[in-house]
Amino acid sequence: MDLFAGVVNALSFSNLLYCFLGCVLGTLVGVLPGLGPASTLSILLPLTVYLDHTGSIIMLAGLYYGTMYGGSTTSILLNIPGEAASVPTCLDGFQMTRQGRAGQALWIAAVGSFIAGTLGVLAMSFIGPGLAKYALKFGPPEYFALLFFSLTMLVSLSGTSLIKGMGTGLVGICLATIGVDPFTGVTRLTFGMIETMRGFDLVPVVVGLFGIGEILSSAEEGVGQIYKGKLGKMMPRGAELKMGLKASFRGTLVGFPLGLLPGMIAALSSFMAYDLEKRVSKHPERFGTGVIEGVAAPEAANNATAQAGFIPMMALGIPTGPSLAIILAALMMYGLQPGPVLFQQNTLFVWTVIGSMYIGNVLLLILNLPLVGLWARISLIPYRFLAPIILGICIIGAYSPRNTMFDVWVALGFGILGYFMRKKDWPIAPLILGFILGPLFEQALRQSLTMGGLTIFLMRPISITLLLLTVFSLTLSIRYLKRIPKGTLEDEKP
Amino acid sequence: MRYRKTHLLETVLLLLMGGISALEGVRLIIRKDPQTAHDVLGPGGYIILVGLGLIGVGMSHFLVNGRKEGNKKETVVNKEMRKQLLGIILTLFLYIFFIDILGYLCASILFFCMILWVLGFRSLRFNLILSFSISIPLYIIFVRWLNMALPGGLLFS
Repeated sequence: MDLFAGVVNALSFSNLLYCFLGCVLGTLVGVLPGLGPASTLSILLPLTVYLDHTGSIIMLAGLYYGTMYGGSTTSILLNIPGEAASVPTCLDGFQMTRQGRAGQALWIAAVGSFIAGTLGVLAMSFIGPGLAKYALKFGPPEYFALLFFSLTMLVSLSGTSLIKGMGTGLVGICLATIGVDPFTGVTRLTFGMIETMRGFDLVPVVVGLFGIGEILSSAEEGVGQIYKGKLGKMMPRGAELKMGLKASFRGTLVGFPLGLLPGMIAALSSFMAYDLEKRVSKHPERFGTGVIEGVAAPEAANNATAQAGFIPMMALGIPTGPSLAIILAALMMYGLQPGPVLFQQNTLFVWTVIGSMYIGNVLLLILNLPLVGLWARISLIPYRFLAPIILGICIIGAYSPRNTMFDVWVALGFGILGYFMRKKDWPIAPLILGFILGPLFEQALRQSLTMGGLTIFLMRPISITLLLLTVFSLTLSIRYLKRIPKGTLEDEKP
Repeated sequence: MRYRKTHLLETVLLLLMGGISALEGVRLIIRKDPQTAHDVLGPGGYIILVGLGLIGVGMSHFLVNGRKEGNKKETVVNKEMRKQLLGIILTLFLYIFFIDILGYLCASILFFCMILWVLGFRSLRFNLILSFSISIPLYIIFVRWLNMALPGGLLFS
């Protein structure tokens, strides 16, 4: 009954309008590299003072999960991830575009996101607050074990050479240590430069490696268009559709529990979903060449993570990331205290926000699906016209997170690095994974060792389970690699 | 066994990065604040582990991949395409350099003009029209609508 009342209230004209505005803005923010949901939410936050509290939270929430829909567009079409969570989507999405299947990739990304978003909201409605309590059992040792398990993904992302994959992963981890140590305040690898004290931001690194690097490689290869010829069908069919939908469900199952954990970023869940797909696939060697599961799973996972994040935020007052922290700030601005009290004293508000998420997912599907054909045509535009625009957007994207030209130089530097990595067959995804996971991994490791030394990992049941899973997973991955004929692996393009 | 030059360079870069990280770690351990003794690993310990990992990978790359790649031929690149690539890099370099001086809008107009020239469009009038057509909408979207504080340069600050 509460949910029904919430949905009915969410369907009021004003709430519907706020939901629509949030979803549109979110999609645009997701498409533009560099402009993340957190920065846009912080810009919009003062403006929401003029709206009623229900409408403003609906709009902010719509913007947040809308960015997960939009982030896939540039990843698939141009190999530039709109968000960090869309990095795995580039691996197969862009290859699909090169084969004239951009429409199918965009279609499954939108539908996969819808499936994940809807299932996520359903879970939120019925089992959410209960599940959130399990998130509290995760301490530093559990996080360390989970992140250590995540690092086994380096094996599956390594492509032709495990050593190269580990090398770039470690380079990513090392680059993430540049700056000020968060525990002690000492500087590391800054070489006396003030600019490096803040370390490298993720966005310039990603924009450089993927966006600028791709342009430079294409310029050297003399690529005329991303795809030449007639575009394929806009919608996948038959066995491919079935595989894509199954991958979406699996991605949701991966992304949702991870979204409950404070500090767990959507990028990690999309990488894990991609890795899982590769492990369960009968043809893991095809990943990276344009398989639909490689797009469906990470997109579903990052959307499920985004939806799941609302549960600990509303039920326990624990935001799982910077964007949700801003939405939490908005709640507190209106005098709404997150926690069990919120569910008891502001029932209509809570269920209206949850109801608006159902509607928001439908709106996003309606917004994104008709545009699939239009977006897919971008792959036919000659590169000579497309490349300057992409470079211009990359520069803005690199500058926008911290408003410093240093980040733009960093993007250029990583662009040149990305070009050389492509040329010499060094995989790029492990570098990004290492860069993202490195700080979290270090934090969890050092906190755990402070708590109880090395034995603490063996004394906590969740931690030891995850560590055993890591060993098992690594063994399986290495055996898989040995099973795949070497010629097949070497044919894989990065 | 012959090793390709690039393979040797890759190995050297990995070993260099690993070595620098490890040395930085040693420096941090030597200068560790006694009040942070509870932090078992410390900032230095962690970075030493990463550095040693890089050194290990560098050595493995030299020994294992060197054998696999030793006989691979270098791909031949078209000189015109190589020139275009260098032109793009130089244009980007100049663009980023001049953004702070000329401001985002002026630098962008010049950048788009130059990059279109590098990409093969030799008509100055066409390049200018296209430059303005790209720069101005980007400026309006990001600076005016999204309130992004892009550099105004010395002329407009």
